[in-house]
Amino acid sequence: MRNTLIILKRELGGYFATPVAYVFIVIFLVLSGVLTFFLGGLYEGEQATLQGFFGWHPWLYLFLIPAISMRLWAEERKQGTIERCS
Amino acid sequence: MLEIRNLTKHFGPLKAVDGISFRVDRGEVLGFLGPNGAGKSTTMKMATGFLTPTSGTAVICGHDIQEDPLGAKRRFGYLPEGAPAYPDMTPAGFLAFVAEVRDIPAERRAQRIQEVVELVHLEKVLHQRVETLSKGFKRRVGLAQAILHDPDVLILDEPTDGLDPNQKHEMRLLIKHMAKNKAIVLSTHILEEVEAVCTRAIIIARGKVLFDGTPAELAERGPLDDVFRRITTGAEKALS
Repeated sequence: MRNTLIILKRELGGYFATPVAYVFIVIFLVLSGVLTFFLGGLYEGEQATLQGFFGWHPWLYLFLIPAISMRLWAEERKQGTIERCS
Repeated sequence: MLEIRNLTKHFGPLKAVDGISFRVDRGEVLGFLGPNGAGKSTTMKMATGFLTPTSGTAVICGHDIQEDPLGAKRRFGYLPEGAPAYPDMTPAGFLAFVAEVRDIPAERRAQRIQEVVELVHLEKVLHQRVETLSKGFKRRVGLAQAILHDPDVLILDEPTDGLDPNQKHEMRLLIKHMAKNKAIVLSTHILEEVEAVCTRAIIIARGKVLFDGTPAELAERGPLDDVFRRITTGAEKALS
């Protein structure tokens, strides 16, 4: 468990060492805005609800999370650093 | 301190390692020799617990790598083939990460990293990303990572591969310097290296141990290149 946290810290740090993290933050913000106001119809519903905002989130995560996380295993294997982790 | 017991590994029909046994004690530097594909790296990967052997096991300072992997892994340092490190990290960041994972107490971490950095001469590139480093520096980062927690057993897979003659010389001095109070296994296919640093040599080919003795014994049989060729091609029954 202790090591899991250390590795988590390293991986998160890795995203911020390159522009990857910032690119994905921007994509996330733009998409969530677009989906809420244009497709979710936040104002048109004329109701005090965030349904239009949160309703789209599963779809955002469905594509964005694999996009940043699927390289983790593959990259580790390719660089050979997986042997360090054994 | 390191004992390999009858390690065997099959990859499908291929017997990569076929019943290798040996032991290394404190103060010994064992040169692990063999042509490409002889099973050197596979043996080391099994000894360090990265690959599960088909049969046999490795015991490190009394800890069986199969039964007590965490206990065993604490006691050795391993430099994998090609000295992998995370390309987006700096050596300073990488060593800090390894120090944390290796459970070096927080108050001693900075001092220990400092010592190791001085030992392998990494000062100049400490804050440069690993992907921009030359091969020699990458290799040294790998070595620094392996010796950071001051292990009793060191397993080095081709530590001098791809280094220039000066760097090779330096790496050998470093290994000799550490040899006094550690058990070291290093694989290589450079024969002079064995004479230069090793106290004992093992030659393997096709997954079997074909020679086990001192470099001097090996040299007695004639020029190293010839002896190596005769042993590994099977022209000479060499087991001593």
